[in-house]
Amino acid sequence: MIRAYRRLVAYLDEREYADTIALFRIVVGVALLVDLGATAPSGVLDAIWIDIAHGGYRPLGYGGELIRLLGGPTPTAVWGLFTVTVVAGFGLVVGLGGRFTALVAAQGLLALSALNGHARGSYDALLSNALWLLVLADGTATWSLDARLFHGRFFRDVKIPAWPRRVAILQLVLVYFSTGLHKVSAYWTPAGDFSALYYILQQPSWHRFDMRWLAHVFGLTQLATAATWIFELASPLLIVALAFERKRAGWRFYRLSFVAFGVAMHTGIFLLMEVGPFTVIIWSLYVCLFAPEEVRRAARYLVSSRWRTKL
Amino acid sequence: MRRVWPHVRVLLVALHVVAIVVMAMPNPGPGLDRSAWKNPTVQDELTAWAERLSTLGLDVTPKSLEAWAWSAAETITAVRETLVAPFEPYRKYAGVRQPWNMFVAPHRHPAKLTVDVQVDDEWRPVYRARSEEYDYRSRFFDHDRVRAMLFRYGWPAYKHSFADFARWLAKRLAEDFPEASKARIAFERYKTASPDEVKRGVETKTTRDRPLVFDLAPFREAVE
Repeated sequence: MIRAYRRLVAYLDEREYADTIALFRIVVGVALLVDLGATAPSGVLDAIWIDIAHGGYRPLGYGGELIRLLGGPTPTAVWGLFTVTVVAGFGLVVGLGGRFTALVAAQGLLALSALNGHARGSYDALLSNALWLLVLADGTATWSLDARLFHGRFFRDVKIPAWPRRVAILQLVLVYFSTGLHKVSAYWTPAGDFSALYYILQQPSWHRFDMRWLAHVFGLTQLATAATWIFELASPLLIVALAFERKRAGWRFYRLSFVAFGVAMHTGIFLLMEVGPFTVIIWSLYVCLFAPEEVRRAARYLVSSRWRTKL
Repeated sequence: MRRVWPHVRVLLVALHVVAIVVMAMPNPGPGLDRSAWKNPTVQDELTAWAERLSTLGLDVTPKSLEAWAWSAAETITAVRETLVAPFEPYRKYAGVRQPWNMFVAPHRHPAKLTVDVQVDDEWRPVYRARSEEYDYRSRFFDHDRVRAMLFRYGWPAYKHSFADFARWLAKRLAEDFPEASKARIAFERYKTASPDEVKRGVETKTTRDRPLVFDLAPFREAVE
């Protein structure tokens, strides 16, 4: 027992290069900007997050503690908080303000999305979880203005605790495994002919356009339904794969297959359905599936020769 | 502090991990609504499972399965609530909710928002969900948060909130269609066609659900 505890202490003490978490921070910042950016110009913000007394469509009560401190769900308070959260989103992308920026973004998003529970989606929770991980992690150690301001270089060879990235991977697995366990509908199983995706894509609430054409490729939708269901329920294997990857190369193949299937699945969802910024947010967690060395190799390959020496 | 910190960190990380794992447990609580269970989509599910379980030799009817499923859902919800309770402040202030009940089942009887205005005693459609022809404020209605909201409002438990939304929309219709005397905001309900029905070209039958009709004059008077 004591030995196991010591191993756990040592495990949480492990450090790794900061590149993966930096990339995670950038993608989360983009996701936050995509989320909020789409809300303002379409008139959605005024309708859903402002109280009926000030032009919104329903009574929102006092609007949560932060909003109450700001004076309730009035246009001034909501637009003010919205602006601060957007600024924090930009701060995350450029890496300014360290954990404090992530905390501001997280609290801003939490307060806004909690205003009207009828108009929020799972992506709000996924994004607030990702932002909280950025409060816990040192997300601006490299690839950031903070690194430039405090250490003279945007890109640094610096090591940070490895456990936040590992918790991010656990979060990704939990999302899939939990959603897989929730899928008790007959349509996800042979009892319903694996027809769930076909019928979900017929729902006007989610599809981007008329999807009746899927009737002519019903077999493919059945295959996608079965594959999605199995992928989600088998997702805890990813933890096993990461634990044993150094010992057996086969597990690396499993991890890369997981990424390939997940990216294909979410690309399909993005193309056919309107689910807000969910795709971008979940991809931020996919970033964490890559070790910093892999991210650095990919970055070196992708960036121009001008920047190569700096990396 | 340097000697103590690794142990404090173990405790804090363990608390976070336990909290998110517990909160990610299946949560049937939001679906525990008798009126929602009467919806044909839910009843079809119960029938499908009862039929499949009967083929396995079990003596199950849709009614008995519904009673069992309701009781199981109540038990799971109670256990989950007990386990989650100690982490409630952390969930609330750190924002670590785990609501991953996404696309648990297809809605076979979806509700589609329809908006009409009355001009010279004639009803004219101005909005139909996902229609390119009747696209009044479509940028607003196509936004994912509004889609999520209207998906919920298709269920009977949300009828009062739907009424709030319809009233808000009627005010906008009064401004945007000065020639209109009334507005009708309703859901159009239908059963999604099976692949076979689509191939055979079977027409989908729709019914108007919960229509709310507003006289637009009072909204204009209020503005004046």
